[in-house]
Amino acid sequence: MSEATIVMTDTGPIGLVLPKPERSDLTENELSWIRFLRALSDGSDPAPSLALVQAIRAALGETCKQIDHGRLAMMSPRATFA
Amino acid sequence: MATKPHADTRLAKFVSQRIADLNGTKTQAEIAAEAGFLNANVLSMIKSGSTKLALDRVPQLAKALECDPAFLLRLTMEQSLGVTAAKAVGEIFGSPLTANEREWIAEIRDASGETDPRLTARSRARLREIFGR
Repeated sequence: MSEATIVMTDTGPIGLVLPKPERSDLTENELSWIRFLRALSDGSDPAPSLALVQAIRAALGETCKQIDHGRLAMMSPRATFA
Repeated sequence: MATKPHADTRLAKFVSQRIADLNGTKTQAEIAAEAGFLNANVLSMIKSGSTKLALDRVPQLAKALECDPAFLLRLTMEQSLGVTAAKAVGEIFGSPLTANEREWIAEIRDASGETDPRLTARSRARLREIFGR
């Protein structure tokens, strides 16, 4: 269901009908992560690349494992750490 | 009055980039038609910043540009309202997550074992490193 609101802009008030936010299941901590990632990426909406995911996992205390062919591949945490 | 008041907006640059990316797959005229623009020149005007994208055009244009609608909506709100006002709207209503952001959340949940980790100074520093900030 959409919600409507009046927003003041530089050129006067406008009515906005916005889609229902898809974040109702996010915690405050998760919102903080998203806001920080948006700020860091200048809002470019980067996909979670391997390097970025590894950085997050490293920051969260997880480990990655180096495999053949000089590629870094992250072991599936579900398969490896669960 | 500036003839291209929206030239420096992220929306204008993003639309230009997506049309360039789709070159060879579909033409600008095809994208315009798919997005429901009766006049194909509207896309040129959006690209150049001489006109802005109407909010109600976001879903169809996102589909035509094969991009994330939530991301396009965010850029369009920035362009329509200004960066600060768009942030205020986002604070109140929430800003829809893009598909990439949903993946980020899934990764964070997975990596933390669903422990809802705080964004610590260490995590910030690590991410800054990766993003070169």
